Amino acid sequence: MPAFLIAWGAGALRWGGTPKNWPYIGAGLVILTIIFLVVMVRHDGAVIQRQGVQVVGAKAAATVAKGDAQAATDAAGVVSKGADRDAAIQATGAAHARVLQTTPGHDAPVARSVNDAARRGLCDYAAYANDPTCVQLRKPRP
Amino acid sequence: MPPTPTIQPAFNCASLVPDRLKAPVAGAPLPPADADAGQVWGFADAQTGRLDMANGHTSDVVDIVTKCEAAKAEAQTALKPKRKWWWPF
Repeated sequence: MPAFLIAWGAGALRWGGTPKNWPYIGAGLVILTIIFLVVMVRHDGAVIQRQGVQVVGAKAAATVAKGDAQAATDAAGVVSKGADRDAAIQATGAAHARVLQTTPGHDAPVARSVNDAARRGLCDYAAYANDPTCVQLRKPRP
Repeated sequence: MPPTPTIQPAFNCASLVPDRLKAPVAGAPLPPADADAGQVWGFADAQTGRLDMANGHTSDVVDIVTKCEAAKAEAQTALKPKRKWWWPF
């Protein structure tokens, strides 16, 4: 094997020593240099990307925490406004009830059959499925 | 070189919705069996108030999640790796 390498090296030197072969040698060196540079640049790129990922990882926690805090603050604002709105609705309902109770004719009777039919209808809805009077209505009569 | 995996920011928008808004709004109490006109209309008024409440709760939930999603999108944009203009790879 070493003898083969020595023979090959000698042949290559003799081949390279011929001036007409120098352009081929130059072209080969240029190609090798380009390959070397590409490999180095890609390797550096990988290193830089790994470092970049570490930096992003460190910044990510802060960015996510900031966004989380912002979302929580926004949600608290919505909930607070919603609670105020609910309270206003209840106050409005109470005011309406007072008006109704003092309006002449409020105690006008409603036919029992109408009341019963209306109740049976309302009891069909899921909202009143567990209402005691609806449960009573659904009980089979003995 | 394998692409860097994108890790979603740890946002949980649903957790920002309070239980009060998740619970159904109960209907107004039914009027008595011998309800008079005032009680029947009082029931209708109260039921309409409950409807307003329920619609408000739906709107609040949508608002909370929309704002949370916006914050999430903003964070994702901030976390997106930026390509340098001079870097060829």
